[in-house]
Amino acid sequence: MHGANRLGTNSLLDLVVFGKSAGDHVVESLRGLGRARPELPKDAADRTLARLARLEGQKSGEQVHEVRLSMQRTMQEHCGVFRFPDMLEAGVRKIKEVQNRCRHTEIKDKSKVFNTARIEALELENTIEVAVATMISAEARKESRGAHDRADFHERDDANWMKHSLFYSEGHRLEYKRVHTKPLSVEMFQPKKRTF
Amino acid sequence: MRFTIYRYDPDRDEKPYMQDYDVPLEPTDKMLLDALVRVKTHDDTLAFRRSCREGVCGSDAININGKNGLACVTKVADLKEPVVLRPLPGLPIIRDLIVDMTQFFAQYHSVKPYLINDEPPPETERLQSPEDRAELEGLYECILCACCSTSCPSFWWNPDKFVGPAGLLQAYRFIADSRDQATSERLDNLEDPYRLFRCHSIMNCVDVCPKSLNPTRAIGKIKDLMVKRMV
Repeated sequence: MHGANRLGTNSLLDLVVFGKSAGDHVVESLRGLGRARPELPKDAADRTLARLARLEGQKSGEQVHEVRLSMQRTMQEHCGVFRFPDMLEAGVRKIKEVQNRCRHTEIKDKSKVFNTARIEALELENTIEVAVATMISAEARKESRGAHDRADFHERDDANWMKHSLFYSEGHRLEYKRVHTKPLSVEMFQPKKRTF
Repeated sequence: MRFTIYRYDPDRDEKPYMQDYDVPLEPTDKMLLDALVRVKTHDDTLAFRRSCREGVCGSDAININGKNGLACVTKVADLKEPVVLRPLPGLPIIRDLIVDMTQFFAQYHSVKPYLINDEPPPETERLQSPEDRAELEGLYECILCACCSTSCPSFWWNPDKFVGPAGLLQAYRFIADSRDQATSERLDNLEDPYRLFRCHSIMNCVDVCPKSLNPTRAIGKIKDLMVKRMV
């Protein structure tokens, strides 16, 4: 955002800045549209409803808290603060296994009122997506940068890795996007190594 | 550890009941919230609110062995068994330990809990002297968990008319703020037999506040200002 971010509180700053930007954009793009709204696709809600129906119909399976603990332990052990190539490789295999288990969780609570068991099951399905994206992107990135600290590639490598990782859920596909170094509206800070 | 927990799911139950649990805790289950999360691994139908798990968000306020508090900052070791858990008293119950906070937040919003200052904002912050800032100590820290208002007999009687300790603490927080210009409007807003003066200094609010704040003292200061402006 301003090139001098540190990890803690980035999310708050992002929320404030991009939240306002997104809100302004929505207001601007709705202006003049009146009450007319484009038709939603007929199947707009299908994927979401299918997730709910799967949980509703699941009569046996693993408990959400068990799978969640496996996800947490896998990320902690294989994709922690200090990262090692063999751990990352094993981590990719393990986290994919955990992802498969997420498709067979069962909740006993089928109530329509404030169902926190259902919320936790859905949250697990959401967080496993991020965990898989993190593990696969980290394993592929053969350098150290910011919080990504690899024992086998200990230095930052701008020549090969000055690029964004783009993870696609379908097929666990990884692509890269170049970093824009041209300032859009403000003066640019020169990229440099982060030191303490 | 043994628990007796208030259960009610309007989707399933005719009426509320107390359910007993006997659940082995892990050595890492230090706080009551850890224990509740552990109970939920045995019975996922038990519903309660929780978020930050460190006394900052105010979501897991419940009645613990008869006293309101936050599950996440209550040590398991300090509790007498069986631990009796009920929803916060005096508010409508949505399910199990979850109450409907609408009334509580309606009273909070009624005191306009934000800075009112009609002067155009300066280039940087609205500055305050260290002495003026010190006036806000013990007022701004409220996390709106509702432990205080739901322990207050006056709030139980008149939740629609009495602002309650949480709302009144916030009213005074802005009255005491050197940058706020709406003191007389704020006092007018509370000049009423119910909104402020239903407080009879019972001090349950002070007894239960998990952040060790003192709403009764703040209410006393508002009453002082009311008297001063009349004489």
